[in-house]
Amino acid sequence: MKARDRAAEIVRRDNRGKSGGRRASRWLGAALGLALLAGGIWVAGSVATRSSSVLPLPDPDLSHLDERTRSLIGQRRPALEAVIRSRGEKVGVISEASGDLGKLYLACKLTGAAEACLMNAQSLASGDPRWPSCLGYLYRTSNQPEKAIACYERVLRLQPGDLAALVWLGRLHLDRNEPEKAEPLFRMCLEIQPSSPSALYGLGRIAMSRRDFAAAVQCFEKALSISPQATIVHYSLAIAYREMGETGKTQAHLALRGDVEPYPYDPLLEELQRILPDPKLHADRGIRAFDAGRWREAAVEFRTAVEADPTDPVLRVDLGGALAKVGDQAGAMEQFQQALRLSPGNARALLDIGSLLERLGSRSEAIRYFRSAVAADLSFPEARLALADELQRQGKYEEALPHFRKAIELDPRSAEARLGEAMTLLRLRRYSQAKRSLEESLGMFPERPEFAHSLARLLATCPEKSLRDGLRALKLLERLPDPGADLEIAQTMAMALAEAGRYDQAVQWQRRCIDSARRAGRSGQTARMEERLALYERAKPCREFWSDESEAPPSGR
Amino acid sequence: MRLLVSRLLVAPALFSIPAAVGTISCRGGAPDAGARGSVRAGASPAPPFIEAAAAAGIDFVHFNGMSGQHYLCEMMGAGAALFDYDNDGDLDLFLVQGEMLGPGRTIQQALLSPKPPLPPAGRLYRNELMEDDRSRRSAGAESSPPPLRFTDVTASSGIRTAGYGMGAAAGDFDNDGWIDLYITNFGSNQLWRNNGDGTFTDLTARSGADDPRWSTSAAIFDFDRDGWLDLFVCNYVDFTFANHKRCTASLSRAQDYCSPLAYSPLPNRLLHNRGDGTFEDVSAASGIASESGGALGVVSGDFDGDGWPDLYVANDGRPNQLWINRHDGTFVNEAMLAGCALSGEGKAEAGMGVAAGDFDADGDEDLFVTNLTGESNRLYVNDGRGRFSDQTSAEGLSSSAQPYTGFGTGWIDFDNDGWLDLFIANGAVTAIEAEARAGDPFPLRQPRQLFRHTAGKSFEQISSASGAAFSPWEVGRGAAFGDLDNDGDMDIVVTNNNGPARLLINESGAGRHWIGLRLLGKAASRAGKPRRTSQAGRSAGDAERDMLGAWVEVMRPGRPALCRRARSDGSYLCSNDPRVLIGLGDSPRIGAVQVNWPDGRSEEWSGVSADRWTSLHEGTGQGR
Repeated sequence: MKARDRAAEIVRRDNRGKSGGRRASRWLGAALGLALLAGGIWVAGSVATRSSSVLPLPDPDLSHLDERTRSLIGQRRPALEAVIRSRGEKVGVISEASGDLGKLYLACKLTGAAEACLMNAQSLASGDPRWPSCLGYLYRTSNQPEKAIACYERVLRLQPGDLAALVWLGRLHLDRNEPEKAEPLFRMCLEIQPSSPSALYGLGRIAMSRRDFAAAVQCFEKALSISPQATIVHYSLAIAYREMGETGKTQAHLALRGDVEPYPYDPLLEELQRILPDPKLHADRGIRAFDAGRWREAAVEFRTAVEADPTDPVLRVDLGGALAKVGDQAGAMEQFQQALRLSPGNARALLDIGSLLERLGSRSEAIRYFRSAVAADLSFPEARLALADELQRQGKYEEALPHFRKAIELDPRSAEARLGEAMTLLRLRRYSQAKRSLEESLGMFPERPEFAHSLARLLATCPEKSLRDGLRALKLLERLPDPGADLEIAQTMAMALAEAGRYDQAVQWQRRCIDSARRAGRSGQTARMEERLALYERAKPCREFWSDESEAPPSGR
Repeated sequence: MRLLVSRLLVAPALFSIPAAVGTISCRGGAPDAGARGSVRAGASPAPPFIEAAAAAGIDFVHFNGMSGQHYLCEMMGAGAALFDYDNDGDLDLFLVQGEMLGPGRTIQQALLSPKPPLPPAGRLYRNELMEDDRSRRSAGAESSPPPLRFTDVTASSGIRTAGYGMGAAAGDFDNDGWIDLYITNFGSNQLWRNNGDGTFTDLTARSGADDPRWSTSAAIFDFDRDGWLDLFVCNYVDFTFANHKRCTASLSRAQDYCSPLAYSPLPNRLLHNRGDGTFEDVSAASGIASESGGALGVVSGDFDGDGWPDLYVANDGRPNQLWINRHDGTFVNEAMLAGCALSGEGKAEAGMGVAAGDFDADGDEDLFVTNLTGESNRLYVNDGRGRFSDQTSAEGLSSSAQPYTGFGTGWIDFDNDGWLDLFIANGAVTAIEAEARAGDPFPLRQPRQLFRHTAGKSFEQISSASGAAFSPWEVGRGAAFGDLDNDGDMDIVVTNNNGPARLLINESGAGRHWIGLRLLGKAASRAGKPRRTSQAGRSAGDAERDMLGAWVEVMRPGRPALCRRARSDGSYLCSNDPRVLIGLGDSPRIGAVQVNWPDGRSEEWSGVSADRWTSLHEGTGQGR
């Protein structure tokens, strides 16, 4: 038996006893079609009908829809009314027009109206699998699984090899904990299309429910080899490996997991998405992709959202952010500027433009935008931080300091703002204030090495004697993981050793630093490092903090 | 069994206490709280719950302070706390309130006006059950139970809430035997110390328990097992009035509430109780602050079976977290590996409320998380070692596109058949267009749901058969669980955003047998902490308190043991009855009761009676 025939057989077996009703409905549909052709049953506008199996043409409230959507419906509904009025039209044409309107209502989530139109289309063209397919989608997405199952079964009777229907029906059975009904559907799908990742994924899920993890792994691995972009499969695969005790593979696949599903190719879904893309849906997907570092995917989703709603400045800012991440600076700037046009004074757009300019080297222009962002939203900590950081970089420490402090006030847990404040205080030679700030931050962020490091260097080198404490600096540095691995931290170690009077060790550390710098090609720094080495060799401590730009302190951002 | 259905009243003899059990404690001086329930023959055909808030004197209506701006916080609150603040043996009720939202906005600008009393504020209601019971007895009226009655004691309690309220958590932080109250806000939180005389003192600033961000649910648990209750505070997202974004409905483009993904998630806070009236912020040191997810729900429990309390956090739109206690003051998030971070298919869902309970009676705690419309609520089944599998559809709790958005939830054995059932308070988070078209100014209404666990097989939704208490569609948020009338079945307080609080009084559970346990211990004195004297001259640190985290196993001849944990956390924005109520089904026979105390020691009691509330005092059982 061919695969398609067997698919129909599965559905037939599952529906024994239902065939009488089906025959009656098919008869009614045909009778209705003839009656329509005989003329005058439907009255334009209200579509009064003598047959109870045909639903009146719905007239849903469209007041909540936007102009564009209302206008689309405004075109399609009269088209249907026109073909109904036209006595010469064939039933197929009326069915088509009714189905088209139904699809539009479906895209608008006007489910009641969509259901009526699609039911009518189905009644008029009972042999057309598109309408039960649309109804299956409608019921599947509106929590009516029983009706959805009946629709997909109908599709498969009409078109036994419909891959999308096989997969959706299989998934519906899986959701209802009916793996025994789902399995033959997925297997059939594989017979028709051996490389169907959605069928393999379904079979993997069935294997998981039976705790046959080896079989599940096989299915998931194969699905991923065919469709690596179906990143959601990594999660199920990871859990299957977990159950098999393969921790390494578990962790590896957890790290790769995403939320792209192995959907079957479904022309209906594509059509619905084309009719009326949902910006919110795409924006949410974009945010998830962005948060996971999948910039390209995020950009695609945000662009779809922008196309669906070009008037939303937030979407444009999000798209700009994703474009900047993939290196399309011009595209990003265009989106940020569009956002500003749509929402003059949009603080996020101003900040992003500033950040982009900063990256492109236009630092004074960047400051102008950061100032505008702060002015547009006085309680926007990121804007404050960006402004403060750039001011600090440009040596405007007195001006930067209040902005760092305001950023901390707005977001007390901002490690970046706290570090920026401390570094600015150091630049301003307000050492005791800087020490207090670093101590407080270290208490708040013990896991952030930059606070321990900065405090240690202050304690080791501070020009104010009362603040110096070489032993405490050493203790702070010793708590850092592998202090020798970072050139700056290693130099601070040498400074702390010198301050503690352990000059021999300071010399050893400093020599190692010089060697490392040479090996790393940082020969520009070695001169100053040599000077420090000379100090230690003469049993003298270092009294320089971060002395110039080539040896910059940790950045606030 | 209150209010509508007459019942067989408890004979005074039932108050007698088996010697092996210790005393039933009602420290407020009231008669013991045991045995108010009755045993009826046969199951009741009546609806399991009746709604009785107004009749009981709860006139609270939540005010969300909305003015048309669609601020994200206005549709998220608020919660409630069930706790016996006056130690008289019955559960009192604190309800969290909102206030006008938006810079410079006045209450006159509210789209939906607040109900009196004004200005809107959190309210404390005293349960008069024990007082009325005493009066009834002294009047010799033994034949009819007094109606459940609450009195608003906010003014005399001294509780003056400040800020836009979200949730509440109740626990005895200073071990003085009087339960204190922590209130979470959109903004600074508040810690109210129970003075033991019906009044409370604001200790927020002095204790260091504040968090200025947007806090939601909180859990009170002793994470380091030092005998002092610590505090975990869920923080949501960095929404402020200044960074408020304009989001639109997908079809109408009308302004609607934003997804939480429009904002950055905030790290949670773990506060270690120093035992001297202050808390130390150990969020960073413990590892808790290392990951943020936009937390809404939290429940504590020993999920990996190592005897130390862990935390499960439900995050909105981002992976949930399972913080496993490493016994050294630190936690590690193992949710992803444990299989309870995402749906079984690997999708992050909109975690709201959370419940932990041994629904399959295999001796470990399983997790239930409520999610968004179009997703599915999730049931994660524990294998006893802290590894979970998503069994939502296998247990009949799944549908491919769930019609409602769940918030408050709890495992409750509402019919006392020994199997844990599920309650869910639902309410949408974006406009339901049909309701909006019908002119509803706050079109987020959805019905609540009750799922019965049918003899350990699967769950069956019985909401539609559950009577008028389940009929109204409201903007459900919190659900607090407890035996408000001490009759041996679980009642529910439901909080609605911009709507009245509801009291769902259980009418069905007492048709079967049950055992009610209050687990009391002198945690801190045993831990060797110094005895202190409070400012009011009261000794703190050595009084008995509810041993949150204690694990109870009730042995039954010929049947599997029933395991429950004493906890006040879980659900959404709410604090629950810290006592343990266990349905026994048709047989009252109990073998022994074993309690595993939070410090890891175990004790066993025999001769504990069914169909009554009993207090088990740490140190009075047989050590194991």
